[in-house]
Amino acid sequence: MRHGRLRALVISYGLLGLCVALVTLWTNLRTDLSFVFPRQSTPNIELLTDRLQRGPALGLVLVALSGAEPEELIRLSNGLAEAFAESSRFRFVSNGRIGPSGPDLSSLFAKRYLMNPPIGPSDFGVAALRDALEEALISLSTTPSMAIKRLLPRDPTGRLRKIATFWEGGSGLGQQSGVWLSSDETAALMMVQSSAPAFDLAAQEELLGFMRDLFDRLKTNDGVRMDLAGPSVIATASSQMIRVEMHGLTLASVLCVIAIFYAAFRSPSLLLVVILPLGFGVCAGAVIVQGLHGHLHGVTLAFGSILIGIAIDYPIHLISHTVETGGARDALGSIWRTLRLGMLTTVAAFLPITLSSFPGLSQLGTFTIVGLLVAALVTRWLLPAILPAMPMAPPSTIWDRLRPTNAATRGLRLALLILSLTALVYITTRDGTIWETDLRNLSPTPAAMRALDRRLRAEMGAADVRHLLVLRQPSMEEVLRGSEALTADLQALVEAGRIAGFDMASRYLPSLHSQRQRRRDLPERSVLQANLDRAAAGLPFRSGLFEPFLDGVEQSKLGPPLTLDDFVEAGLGWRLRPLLFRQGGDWVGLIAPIDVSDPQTLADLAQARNDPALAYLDLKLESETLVDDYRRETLVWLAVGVPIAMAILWIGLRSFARMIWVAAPVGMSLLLTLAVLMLFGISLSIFHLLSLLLVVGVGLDYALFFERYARDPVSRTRTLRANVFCAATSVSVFTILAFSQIPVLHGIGTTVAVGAAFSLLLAFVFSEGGGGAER
Amino acid sequence: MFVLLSPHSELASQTPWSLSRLTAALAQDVGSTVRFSEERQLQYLTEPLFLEGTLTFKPPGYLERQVVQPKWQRMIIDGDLVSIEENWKDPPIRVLLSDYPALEAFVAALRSILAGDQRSLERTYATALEGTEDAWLLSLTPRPQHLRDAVSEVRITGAGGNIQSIEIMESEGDRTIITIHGKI
Repeated sequence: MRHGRLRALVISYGLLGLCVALVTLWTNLRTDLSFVFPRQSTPNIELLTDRLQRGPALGLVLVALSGAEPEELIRLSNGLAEAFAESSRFRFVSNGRIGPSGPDLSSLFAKRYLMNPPIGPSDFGVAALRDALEEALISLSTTPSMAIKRLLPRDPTGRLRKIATFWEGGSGLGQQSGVWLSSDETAALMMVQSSAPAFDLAAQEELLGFMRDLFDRLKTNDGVRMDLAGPSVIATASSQMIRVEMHGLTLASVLCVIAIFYAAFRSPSLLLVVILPLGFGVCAGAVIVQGLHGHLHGVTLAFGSILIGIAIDYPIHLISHTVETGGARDALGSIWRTLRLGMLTTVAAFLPITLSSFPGLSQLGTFTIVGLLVAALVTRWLLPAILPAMPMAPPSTIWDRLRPTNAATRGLRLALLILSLTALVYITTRDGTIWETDLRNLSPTPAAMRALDRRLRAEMGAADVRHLLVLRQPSMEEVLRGSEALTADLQALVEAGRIAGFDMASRYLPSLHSQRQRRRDLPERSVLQANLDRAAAGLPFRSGLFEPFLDGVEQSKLGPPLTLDDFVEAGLGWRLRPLLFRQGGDWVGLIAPIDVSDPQTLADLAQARNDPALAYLDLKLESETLVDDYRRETLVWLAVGVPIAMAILWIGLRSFARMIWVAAPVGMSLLLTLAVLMLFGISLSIFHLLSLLLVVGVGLDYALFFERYARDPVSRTRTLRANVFCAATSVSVFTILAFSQIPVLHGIGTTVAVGAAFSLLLAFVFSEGGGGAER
Repeated sequence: MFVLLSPHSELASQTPWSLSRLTAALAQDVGSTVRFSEERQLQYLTEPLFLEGTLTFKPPGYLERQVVQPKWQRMIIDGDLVSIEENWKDPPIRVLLSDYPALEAFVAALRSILAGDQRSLERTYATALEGTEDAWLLSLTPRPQHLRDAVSEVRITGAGGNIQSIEIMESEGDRTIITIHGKI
């Protein structure tokens, strides 16, 4: 017999191992933000997805050096930029330096007279050229051997400086300093782009480590610090934190459960048996979700495993009810109906969620249902073959003493009833929203990291991420022309003080249409030559010195037009790509206003143009709408699920009154849990809602077992003991979870820990000495 | 700084005139300001340019050059950082000395000499000292390739611990002659 059980245990673990291997090999685990986006998405939501998931550019890392004098920061910035550039691990490194070692701008320089700001009609006239030449003469005499000297024959009018000034006007970066400095000069800023693919988290993590090592070697004192931000930094930090927390939390939970099991059963080895249903449940859930959805989201796996963690209660009930005379099989015969009813009720509550239009939610529903079903089946069919005949001693007499007098029970019931009603009043009359509205709070990223990212991005002049004007056209040219047509109106908003500035792709890349115009306006070589000769009359410039200038203007006039590729080649793609990109079959141009003081004028501007290609978009509003939709849908599915669960309960108990006696304490504990969460000012996300559903499942189990066994004194103590162990396990594990820094886990932990404790108390008080069982 | 010190110390009159005695003599007076005038002969131009201003040196690496004619400009070179102010209101333009080898070649020589650092001078330049204590000529040829690409030779003349002129020959043929007029 003993050998039979051992063999069954070994075979079970062999099977479980196979299942785990299958899940690991077969499932396609995704960890992006796709979990929170709906299946049917609008172009606006896609834009939001794009901005949230990829940030302005893939694999872009923003670097801020601070904690020293500007001179020191500039030195460090240059040292790092050089070391980064030498390492060949980056597609592009920039600290804003425009020296010989800065980015290669030659492909752009050749087309300088097509760029913005446009050449005015009189810019190449005699008077303007004369002014430019006189100024050049002065800078030749005062500036010793500077770059200006090398540029002079090609660029006597200071075209390059004008372009740079024009571009810098679009960013908030400190101007004219050799490297990018923050506006208050307390930080030097850099931007690098990894040459490894952005989705390769391991490579990104390695790269960030490399950057930090280099910084540690180059820094001159300990006061200097380097902050990194960007999508890949957030992603790696999140995954690192999740990993660390998961290890810590798992270890703490396992130790805690072992301790409870030892206290309960005096046999830690029983734990091996007890986790089998859970293990199979997780594997089955993962496999079915993968089969139905083609992928398994990381959030589904993590959160789903937590949800079906309550399946650990099933073997606890089985073990607790095994009496010396019968063994596990007999015990199963006696508790199976109750256990099955509790399980089916919980499954019913989760069932509607599988129909959600949000794939993440639908996955979670499926995972939970499959997991609970399989865990129950494993408890039913596998565990009796493994469990010893007498897994634990009969309950000690302590449990019998836990029998309050009828008077005390009545008093407690009344008190809890009043408390629940108070909670109901508090919940319904409380001011302000109780809902979480920020989409990003549903992601596991620490808030501090997101704040740093926002700050650095603002410093880099990566405009407002909230308000946007969106141009959507079949071709890039149409987007650029539409964007140019808006420039005057936007400039008027700047002058009226409604916005501080704006950034758009056509600022850097003029449309082909305007380029054609500019080419036409550029003077013929002979005309320019004549103007130049007249302007230089009497000045000591050697004749023929400005041939390269004449060549340059001619090349702009007759050569190929300026294209997006020119910017990419020059390493300036990061500036244009976030503002101009393909989406679906269309080209999208984003016009990003800076420092918006009056969003309504932007909306009005878009409306007044009455152009279907142009739209005003408030990303925050858009994301709040998304979160609202998500929550509303969850609430609808809960509203559908709870009546179904009640119906199953009614059918299972074959009595409406008994159903009420079981459901009432569950409902009350739900009210009390909700009130406690609100008292602590916790905003409710869908994760909280699903956790509350879990509280319902746990509470129903407790109530059902109490309801079933309260009459028989022997069963009563066994049930009481089983429920207390179940609750002790749930409360302690979820309390550990509540210590997590990841907002979602913290929320779930708090909700379930509080809810499980209330559920046990209420189920006990309302079953004790009366209730449904007497009926 | 630039200069000018009691040219005849006890030691000076006893040992023969040499680079070590020259640098020792030059290093004795630092931290003052001198006037200078400059003539630039540029390939771009058919006639030379002239300008005037002041120079200040504070050891070990601070150099300030203020031009007053024909147009005000101030350049401060501190360490590897160069700040240039074209007028009073705009913030200075900041660039790196190492990005501009022609300037670097000149500044490195001046710093070594004024700080009396013979070793760093000889590390960066091949030196040749001619003449006597009362009329000497120090010719410097940059050793590092990137400096030699920009500047072929720096020639400094003086008397005792006084620098009288600095001539910079750029590789592309441009020539700058700085004449030191004395303390303010």
